[in-house]
Amino acid sequence: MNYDSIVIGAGYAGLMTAYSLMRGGQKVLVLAKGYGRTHLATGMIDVLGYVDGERVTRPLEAVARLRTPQPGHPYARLAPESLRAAMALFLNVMSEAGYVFAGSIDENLLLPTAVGAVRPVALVPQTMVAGDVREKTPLVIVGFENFKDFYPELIAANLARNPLSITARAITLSLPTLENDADVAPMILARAFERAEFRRKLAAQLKPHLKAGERVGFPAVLGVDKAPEVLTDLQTHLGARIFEIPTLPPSIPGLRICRALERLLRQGGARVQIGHPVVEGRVSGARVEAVAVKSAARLKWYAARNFILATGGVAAHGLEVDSAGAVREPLFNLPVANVPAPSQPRFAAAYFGEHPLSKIGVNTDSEMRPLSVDGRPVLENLRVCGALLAGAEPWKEKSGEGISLASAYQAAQVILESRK
Amino acid sequence: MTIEVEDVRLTLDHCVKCNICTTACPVTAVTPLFPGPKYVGPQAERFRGELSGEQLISPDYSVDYCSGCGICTQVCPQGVKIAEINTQARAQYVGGKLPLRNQLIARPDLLGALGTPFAPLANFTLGFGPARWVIEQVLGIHHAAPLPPFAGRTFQGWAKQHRSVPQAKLSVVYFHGCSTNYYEPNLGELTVRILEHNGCRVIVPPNQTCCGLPLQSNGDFASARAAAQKLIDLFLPYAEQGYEIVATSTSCGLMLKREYREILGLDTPDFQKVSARMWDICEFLAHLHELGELKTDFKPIKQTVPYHAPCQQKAHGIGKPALDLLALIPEMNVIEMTADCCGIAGTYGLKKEKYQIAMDVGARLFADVKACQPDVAACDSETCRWQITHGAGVKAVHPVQLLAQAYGFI
Amino acid sequence: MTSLTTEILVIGGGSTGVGIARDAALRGFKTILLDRSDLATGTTGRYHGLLHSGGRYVVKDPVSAKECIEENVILRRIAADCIEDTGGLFVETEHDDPSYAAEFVAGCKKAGIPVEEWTVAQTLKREPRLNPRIRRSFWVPDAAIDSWKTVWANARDVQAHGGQVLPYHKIIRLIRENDTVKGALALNTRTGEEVTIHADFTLNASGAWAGQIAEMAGLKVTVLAGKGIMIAMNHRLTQMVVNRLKRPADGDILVPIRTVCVIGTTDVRVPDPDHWPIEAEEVQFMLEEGEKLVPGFREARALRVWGGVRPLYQPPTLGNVSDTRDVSRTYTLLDHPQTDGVQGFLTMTGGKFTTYRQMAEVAMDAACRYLKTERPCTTATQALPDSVEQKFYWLGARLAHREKDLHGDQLICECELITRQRLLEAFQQKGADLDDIRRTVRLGMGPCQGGFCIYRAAGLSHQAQFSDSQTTNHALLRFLQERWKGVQPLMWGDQLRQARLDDWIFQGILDVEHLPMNDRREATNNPSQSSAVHGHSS
Repeated sequence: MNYDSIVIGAGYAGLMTAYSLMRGGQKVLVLAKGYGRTHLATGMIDVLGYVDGERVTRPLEAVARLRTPQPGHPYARLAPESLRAAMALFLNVMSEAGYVFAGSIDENLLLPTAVGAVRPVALVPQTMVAGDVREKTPLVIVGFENFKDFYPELIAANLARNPLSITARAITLSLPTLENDADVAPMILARAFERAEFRRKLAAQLKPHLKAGERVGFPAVLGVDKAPEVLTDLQTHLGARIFEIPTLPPSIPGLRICRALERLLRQGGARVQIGHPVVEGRVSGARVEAVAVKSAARLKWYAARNFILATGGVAAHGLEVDSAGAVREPLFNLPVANVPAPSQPRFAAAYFGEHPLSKIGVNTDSEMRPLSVDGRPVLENLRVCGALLAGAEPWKEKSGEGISLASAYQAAQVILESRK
Repeated sequence: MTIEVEDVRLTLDHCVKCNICTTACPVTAVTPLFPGPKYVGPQAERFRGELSGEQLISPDYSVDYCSGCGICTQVCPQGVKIAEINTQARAQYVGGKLPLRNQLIARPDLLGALGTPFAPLANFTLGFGPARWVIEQVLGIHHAAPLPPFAGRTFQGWAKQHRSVPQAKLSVVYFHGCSTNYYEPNLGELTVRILEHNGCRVIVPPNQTCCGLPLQSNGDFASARAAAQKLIDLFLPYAEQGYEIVATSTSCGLMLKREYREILGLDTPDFQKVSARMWDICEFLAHLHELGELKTDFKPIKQTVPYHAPCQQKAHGIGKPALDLLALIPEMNVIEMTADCCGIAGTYGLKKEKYQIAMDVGARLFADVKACQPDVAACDSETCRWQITHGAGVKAVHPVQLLAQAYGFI
Repeated sequence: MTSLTTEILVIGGGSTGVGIARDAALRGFKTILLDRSDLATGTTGRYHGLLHSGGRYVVKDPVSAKECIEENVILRRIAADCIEDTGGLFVETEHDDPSYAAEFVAGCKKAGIPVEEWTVAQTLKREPRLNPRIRRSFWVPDAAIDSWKTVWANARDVQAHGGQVLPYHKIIRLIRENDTVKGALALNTRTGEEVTIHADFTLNASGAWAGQIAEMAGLKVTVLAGKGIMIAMNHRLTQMVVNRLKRPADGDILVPIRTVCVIGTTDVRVPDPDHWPIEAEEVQFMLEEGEKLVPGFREARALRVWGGVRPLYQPPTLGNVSDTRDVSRTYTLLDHPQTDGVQGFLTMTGGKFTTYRQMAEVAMDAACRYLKTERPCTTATQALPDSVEQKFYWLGARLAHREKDLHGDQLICECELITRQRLLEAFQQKGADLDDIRRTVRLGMGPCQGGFCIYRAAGLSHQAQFSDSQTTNHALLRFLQERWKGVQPLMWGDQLRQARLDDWIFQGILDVEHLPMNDRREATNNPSQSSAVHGHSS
């Protein structure tokens, strides 16, 4: 099997790079150790939520303004057009998959979190959009006795204390058809929502408690592959607009995105091999020739013309820090930027303080190639994208998906253009 | 060159409690009796003493509902060897003492040897409703579980008579496994023929005993280790001479590639030498193809063939070479099945208390197979083939059987 | 302002304090116990959980060794359910002096400590992860004891016998009339209320803070604070306690306790028992010492680092102490009526957890003499609540319990198998401070260090109306900060990966930083507040 491009990593960056390359006519292989950030984040698309602790209302503008104060930020280093094009692409792809998104990169929505804070976000699936607290219609948050990852009372109480004057109350129900299980797992619950009988019973239980005009918030378990159908059906039964609120991992909405992308990739002739950890790369001069997967009894080598490294940051071995404090990128030993000097602190004493180690990563040129400390590309045909990039604290500033998608887009473009 | 094997129990340290494994587990999805791979694996393992020289009591029975499919290990982003931890935990729970039923079904070579001379009678009994009800009551093997009919002859019998190609550029050893020997000798013959067609001299070492996988899966590690040692001793001289070893049973091949070392803790140089030479048959043929040495004189076969990669095949970490091979057959419409697991999990779905769980796990695969309106289904594992036939009502063959057909051998 | 009257007042809710209170209550005294914080938040709750056989001290401190084995036997009898009978090994590694073994065996025999030599093969079979190059190995009856469980069992027994246990009561001053201590004035830090306690006799069991309390009676008592750090490793690398066969030093004990194992410890004199740092060098040193016992220790996952201060009494006759390890680990009763002419007041200081019961007996015997009443001590024979059946704790207990009913209750903390029911009981008993709950039921003490369960616990606390949203939010943020102190020195490998996932959960998904807080300052974690009363991680 001859591949044009091999993508290492199956998070947002890996899957979207693979998709773009596949659409560009390439034979693509995705190799991943396991599933990635899709399953562990919100399932929404952040572009930029906070800068210097201040909430961002217009993310695209805020991204543009980052260039000067934070020149080391991935957004500052990516081509300005990449973010916009990446988001447009993502919206199209999700439409194609039948899982429509709403929102825009020009203006952030404000959505409740599972603890009752309010957070800005750019693009969200249809299943979440009705939760926007900029709209003043009252909210009722619905939780379930036997689902432990969601506490509607706390959410409602905190929303009600928000300076934005949000009207919110809480209802806790017991789950129909799952009455005998005090501890229902999120995937089980999400699959239950896909059953018509469950929805019918749930609606019958809930509807009498609803007030006219209320928007109804559920935990983010409104189905796995049939979320749009679940949304429509429940809204019809309840006679109210509903939305879901992302809660603890595993992220069902994120899982939807991953499954949709996997399906599109497979249908388009790309190969996605999960459970295939890449452990070594073979480099000749400045070119990567092949990468090896640790298969059951031997290393299995895969060759290609292009390689994309989307292995994430420290969260899952994209970057490693050992017990003596040494930092490395384990596959190609790429230079890692922003590592504090040995005598310098890596972390602040306050948990919410500034942690110097948070911004480590790989720096790239405009072709997404990894750079050495003196700014020269170290490998010609290796592109780096996603959370492995240096210079950002995406969990804090709410920029993870935006960085992943924009860098993935740019990496794919660069590869497709280089063929011409 | 030996792959480094990380200590299975130590991998529990990598677990960050994300529950990605639990979302992927096909057993948790269908039964509340299994609390999920994270719970039973890295989480519960902290509450078990280590299985060492002392026989320790394992505090949990729910580990027995793990089917060992291994999907959890494949999807884990942190490298926790979840299914392997579960298999070790089950051995601790069982304490080496298997109930009679498990002792029997964990010894397919014994059953095969007993049943083959009396194949017609044995097959009649196994297919006779009332007899199966009695067996269910007495032994606990579900009356509807897909037990394969004995072939009435052995592959070894055929192999003894067979003279392979003396002048060949490559010699390979064929590890046929119990199922080929007693239930599907025809598959073995076709495999030999395919290899010989592609310039290999095929050596079939006699006295191939069971690899011990069902013993391991059922928790009898002592017997599994003994079985492993015996088989390794048999293959070692060949491995040392540089012969590659190919297996048509993808699960048995995985045992010799990895599970001996990882799960049973057998990590001597002898085991390493044999494991380094071990190949799944499709992997081997695809490898020949990559080297440009596979004969591609395939005749067209206009058939719709759903292909299911068994869990144990995916665990090889070699992609799906069967797809690459079947793609070489003109006009064949191969449809890759996306459902994870057929449910049988070796001997798991044969058991009375687990049969329905297995059928529920496989339900989506059966539906997808049927929806193709297939001529025949392809799958690399024998137990999965029997389960697919049972659940979807469709004939199922090993992918190499289709290759043989395309070569014109059948 | 409340006024209470009692016969015995005990200051300090560590093992010594609750031991004395229980002893008093069982002797029929009306008893009140005070601690400035939750029980066992001083030294008792911060050690590695070793129930000493005494083997560690046989050569250097034989008095202490003898005390340990005596109490080891007694505690097995009265506190069985707090103890896991792991057994212990003293192993001679390639770094250790071979001549020590003979001294060790002789010392054990002299102190009455059962000791048995095992072959190396036997040892490695039993503990396959131990350093394969060990030369000799000796079994002793070390065990693992849950100090919080023990303390709370003692406290419950105090209450069962009519006594009062008052955590979160800080002593403002002792009431001294001429030469007699007659009680104390305390502040309930939870309510802000002042409480006066009139006592016939006051016992100072405040451990490393004993000097500060004694000073309130006008007495000079020098108690040095010897800081020791410990690291909890994610899972039990050994099932038995493992000690290095050498003169006691740093990092030479590995204790399996519940689901973790703990490597410890150091001994550095610090001027202030409440404020001291954890140095990166100390952490590296623990890892290196761990590596000598268990090869591959550095690659194993370190969960949390914390420290405690040992109370080391320095008698006036002893000169300036440079190495606090040279101070004896035995205990000392300061008989203030006799030596200082101050009546109604005794200080019991020094000692170790293993000997707490004996310390309490000695203290109460002295108090009885001064109160002119003969009441025998029964603590050596009367079992603690829940230990009556004399069944030792076993590692699989929580898992076996959960297995009985997988679907009847929710697992709120999955790592440590804590159910909703259990947590609600804990809220009932202790209020909604998540950090207090953590100590009691081990919430958030597993690998994810609260990553998943803290959100659930906070939500549950609010849902069950143990806290309003304001309190819940504060509890959540405080927990995150406390946790950070204990994991920040360990940010590498698996624990860094876990921390990053937890960042994504708390910040990326929940955005806790932007919870509505009435007081913005509290939400952003004022550093001075984070080194509050205790100033160290736990």
